[in-house]
Parts: sequence; structure tokens; C-alpha cells
Amino acid sequence: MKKILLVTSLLLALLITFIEAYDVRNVESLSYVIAIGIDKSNSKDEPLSLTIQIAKPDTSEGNGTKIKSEINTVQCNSFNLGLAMLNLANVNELNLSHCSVIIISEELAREGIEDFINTVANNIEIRPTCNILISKEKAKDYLEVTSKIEDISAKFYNSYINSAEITSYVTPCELSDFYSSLHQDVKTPVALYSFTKDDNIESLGLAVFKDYKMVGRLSGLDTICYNILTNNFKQATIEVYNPQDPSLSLSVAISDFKDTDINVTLENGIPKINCDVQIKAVLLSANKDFDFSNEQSLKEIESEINSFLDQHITAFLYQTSQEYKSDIVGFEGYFKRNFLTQDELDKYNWEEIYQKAEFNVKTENYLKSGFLFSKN
Amino acid sequence: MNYKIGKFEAIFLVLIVMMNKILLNMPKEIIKQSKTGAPINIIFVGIIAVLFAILIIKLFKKFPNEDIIDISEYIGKKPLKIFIGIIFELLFSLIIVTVVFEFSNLLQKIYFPNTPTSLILLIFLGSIGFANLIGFKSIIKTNSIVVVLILASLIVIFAGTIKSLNFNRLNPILGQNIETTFLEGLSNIFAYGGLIYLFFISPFLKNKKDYPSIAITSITVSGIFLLFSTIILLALFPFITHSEELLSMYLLTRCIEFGTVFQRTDAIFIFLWIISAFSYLSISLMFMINIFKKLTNCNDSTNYSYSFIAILFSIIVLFENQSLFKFLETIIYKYFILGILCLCLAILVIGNIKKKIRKEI
Repeated sequence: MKKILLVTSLLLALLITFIEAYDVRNVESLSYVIAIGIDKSNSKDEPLSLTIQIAKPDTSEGNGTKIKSEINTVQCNSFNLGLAMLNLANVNELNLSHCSVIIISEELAREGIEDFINTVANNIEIRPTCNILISKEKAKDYLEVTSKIEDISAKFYNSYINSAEITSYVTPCELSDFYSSLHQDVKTPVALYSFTKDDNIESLGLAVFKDYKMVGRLSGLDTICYNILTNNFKQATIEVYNPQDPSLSLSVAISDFKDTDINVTLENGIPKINCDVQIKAVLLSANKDFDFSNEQSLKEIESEINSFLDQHITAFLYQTSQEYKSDIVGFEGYFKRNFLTQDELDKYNWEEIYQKAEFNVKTENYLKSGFLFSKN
Repeated sequence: MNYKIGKFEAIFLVLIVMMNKILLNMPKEIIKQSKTGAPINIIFVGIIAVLFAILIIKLFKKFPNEDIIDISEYIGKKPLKIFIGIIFELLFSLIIVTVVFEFSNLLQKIYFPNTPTSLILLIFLGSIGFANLIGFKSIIKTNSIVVVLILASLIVIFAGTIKSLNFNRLNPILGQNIETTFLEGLSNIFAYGGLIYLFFISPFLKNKKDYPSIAITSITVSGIFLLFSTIILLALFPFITHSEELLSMYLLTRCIEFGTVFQRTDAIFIFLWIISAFSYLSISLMFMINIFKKLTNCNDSTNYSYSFIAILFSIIVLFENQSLFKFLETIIYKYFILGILCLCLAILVIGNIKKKIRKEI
């Protein structure tokens, strides 16, 4: 009896597993979206314009399988409605699980993204590691340019962002981090800033947000400062004043050495923010008249690098606190360290007092004379 | 249930309960109550849970071969035995119903949006019925493997998310205020619901001397994992103090990527969690049947598993309502556990006093 029951149960389990075959979604029946573009439309009734980039295998030329992309755009009231309309126009079911970037036009970002960013983050198919990118032009135009690039796939955007990351002029801005920064976080969100250049795309700097609206843009150098302060810095090349020949600036490669030490205290209702930056530096410039082999000349350049970074980081911090009024570095988190309970913390409005913050940046660098020659 | 379980099998039995609770939003419930004070609160209630465990160990010393149902019979004859038995039957039914509903809901939302819920429920309930038919020994042995896998999966989740953590999000460390974290937070002792299983495992142990180390080790290990899960959730998702999400641990797995080779690893974790849920549910059903056997004096009650499954299946299908199950899983479960803990401790204390008086006479 026991054996019969066991066999019956096993058969039942198998049966249940296999009768579900009708529900299985095959790769052939899906269209994979690799990028989503969101624009403001010209229509009052349908304020959004949703563009998707779909990867399609192309075997027409007989040189193996290449991936080509197709662009589809609809005007809609909401993100989900737009997707439904795009699904109607597409033979296969759209699948967003390979979407690696969400492109929002600067025009729309400046007006606010509240209406759809929460919906996008709530979509189970979209990965939290998908990057948020703000395009200078319309997202549709941006995607049209990328579609001309051959062999484009979901990996294209990731590789493109990761390679740009090495320069520190950009930093990855993933959906999960962006969404977190919008909800009770210690920092405000930033997104990658990108634009088209001839027949290609380029990313440089970051878009600064306050709540759901884009309030400004950081330059490449500002982004280096941002990366240094948020401990995301890897390496970068900067140009500093040359004490040996003021007419020729010096190229210096800087890289991370130690995490930036940040301390926030409150004095007379004004936050005093101290940032101790420590980096490594290597001289790249070489000239027959340059001599960086002695300690004195190295110290002079060290001091130039320090003052260059102090100056730019301080300017960047005042720009974010006074002009953008947006705490993108996350000083609020360091401020919270001074309190044990939320009740004590609730006596202060960080958003208000951050605008009056005073910054004190101290940079130290450890300079090496050069890769191959310290004197030519 | 003639098979006697070893020390590690018993530890794993308590751990599977706690691990499933961690996976099923337990850290989130604590965060919701204590906000950023959750890690301190977990340490605080953890110490109290260990004290509870020590008390249970001391009180069980005089009843090495009995469980809480036997002790109830000893002090209050049949009426108390039946009363306590029914309470535990209700608790285990609540556990099975909520766990099955949560997991089938998760599976349906992520992988089977077009599949009827009843089919997913049947797979869950059918499997635990099948496991109980095979027997106690198989369930316990399988559970030992499953717990190791689950612990490993949690460690991988912790390691995989560590680069994205922002520990500044953990401030202020005492939460809203001291009262909320320590006084109101005392009710979070329900997080250590694994304590309940300590009232049943004593008669099944190979070596009764292992009981103290089983109780302390299982509570400490689960406390450590609960603490780490809470810290990671708070340091990664600042919105978690206010949001309502599907499963907070699932959100963590979606953020894990190991280079470009291991991406989208969440499916592996879900697979492991389903196996862990099977194990947890099988154990709960096993205890349910065992209690029923004691209440009805049946010699062979294995085949009752199908009747229980049919009843539980009907309950889930009848009340298929997300908010109702959320209410059952959080509020009802929380106070049920607290009530049962107090009731069982009272029974154990009275049992000990009765034994002492009888000895003196």
C-alpha cells in the first residue's frame, strides 16, 4: 500500500510539473529589450514618449550571427501603458530582463521623474543593476544613434559605462541605488550624463537630482571630486601648474590610496564638514628641461596637486550645497553619527542646514616621479 | 518516530525554522518596529532568548523523555493536554499556511505569472505530504543537508552585497528612542520562534545531555544570521523602514553580481529557498501529526498527513487574500509565539513544582 502511494505521489508530482508546459515562455517567443528611453512628448493627453531598443539576431550577410537593434516608440500616459502598446505592435512578447540602461531626456528629468521612476523600479523584470542615464538630447534620438553601432547588445552599455568608469569622469548609477537615494536615504541621487557626438555616444559627468528633479550637471572634474569623496575613485589624469615651466602644465595620474575621512560636526547651527583626502600620484609629463629627480621639486609638485584638489573639491562641495542644495555625497549619514536616537536628530532639518555648511578639505598625496624617467 | 536524532540534526532542526523566518521577512518586521535600532534590538532580544533557552533547559531537566504535551498531561490530565495540543496544532497550521502562501505567491509573481495559484500550492503541499509519508528519519537527514546549503547561501548573499553597503544608513543606532528599541522592541522576541521547537525535541534526542548545547547553539547561530541580515538590509535599502515589499531577502539576491560571469543569481537562491521551505514545512507537518497522534492515541497516524494537507489547502484557497495572510504572518504569529512561550514556561514551572512536591511526599 505504502509503495502504491509513493508511486502515485511521484507520478502526480511529475504530472503537475509537465502539464505546465503551456505556460513556459520560450526564448523564441520573447523580444529582449536592451534599453528603454523616456521622453516628454508633445501631446498633452499622452505626456510621455516611450522608446525601446530591441536586440535582434541578424544572419543576412552570411558572416555569422550579428546583433542588430530595432527602435520602437509610442506616446503614452504611463510607463506600463506604453509597454502594453509596444507589446501590441510587436510580434513577440517584450521582456525587460536584459535591459541594461534606462535613458531619460534632460528635458524630462528637469521637470521631474516621479511619475514613472517608482513604476520602473517596481517592475520585476528590470534588474536593479540597470543603469540610469540622462541624455542631453531626446532619449529616442540617443537610441537611434546607438542603433547604428554594429553588434549592439545588452553588454554594450555595461562595457561602455565600465570602460568610462576607469577615467573617473563618470560613475555607474544603478537603478537600485538611484531608487534608494530617492527614499529616506542619507544622500540624494545622481545619474550618468551622456550625449551624442557625431555618430557615437559619449558620457561625461553626472546629472544631479534633488528629490525627483534634475537640478544641475557635474563636469568631468566635478565627477572626479565626487568619486574621491564617495570612495568610488579609481584613477584619473589631471593637469596642474608646473613650477619649473609655468607655460607648460603637468599631467599627473592620480589614483585611490585611502578612503576619504569625513567628519561632520555642528557648531552654532552650522555644519562644519572636514574631508581628509589621501591619494597616490604619478607624474606623466616629461620634457628635456624638467627635472623631478630631487626631493625639492617633487615636494613643490606635491603641494601643487594638493592645492589643485583642495580648490576643486571645495568648489564642487559649495556648488552642490549652495547652488544645487543637494547632498549627493551623503554628508547626512556622517551627521547622523553624532546622534544616538532619531528623536534627537529630528530637532535638526538637515536639508536646511546643509545649505549653510562650511567645508574644510585637506588633501595629501604620495607622489612618484614618473613611470620610466624622472629626468630626461 | 522511533528514530533518535543526533546533536547536529537537532541544531539544524531548530535552525531551519529560524532560517525560513529570516527568508520570510522576519528582519523586515523587526526593522519596521525598531527602524535603525533593529541591530541593537536583535542583540537585546537575542540575549533574552538565550536566557529563555537556559530557563527551558533547566525546566526540562526533570522531563528528559517528555515533550510539552506529555508535561501538560502530567499536570492537568487530559483537558490540559487537549487544550495545549490544539494550540500547537493551530500554531503549526498557521506556520504551514503562511509559509506556503508566501512562497507560492513569490513563485507566481516571479516565474509563473500565468499559472493558477492552486497548482503551485498543490506542489508545495503534495511534496510535504510525500515527505511525511517517507518518514521522520528521511526528513531529519535531508534537513541537515538543506540547512548547510541555506546557511551557505546566506553567507554568499552577505558577501555579494558587501561592496554596496553604506553603513551610515545604520545611524542613529538606537532607533527612534530608547523606549521604542528596548521596551516596545521586547515583543521582537518572537523573532526567536525556534524556541518553540525546543519544547518538542527532548524525547527524540539520542543523547539527552546534548539538549543544553543544542538549545544555546541553535539560538546563537540563528541570532547571528538574523543580525547580519538586518544590518545588510538596513545598510543597502534605506527605504526598507517604510516600504512594503515582496520579500526583502529576494531584493538582496537581485543586487548580487560576481563579475560578468555570475549575474542574475537570484534563481539559484530561490531554488534553495524552495527546498528549505519544503524542509521546514515537512518538519512542521511532522510535529502536527505527532501531536495529533498523542491527542487521539493513534498507533499509526502517518496517513493523516493527506487529511491535514487537504484541510490546509482548502484554508489557503478559501482565504486567498494577501493582506489577510500578511496579518496572520506578522501580527497573529507574533502574539501567538509570545503567548505560547509564556504558557509553555508556566506549564514547565508548574510541572517542576508538582514533581518536587511528589518527591517530597
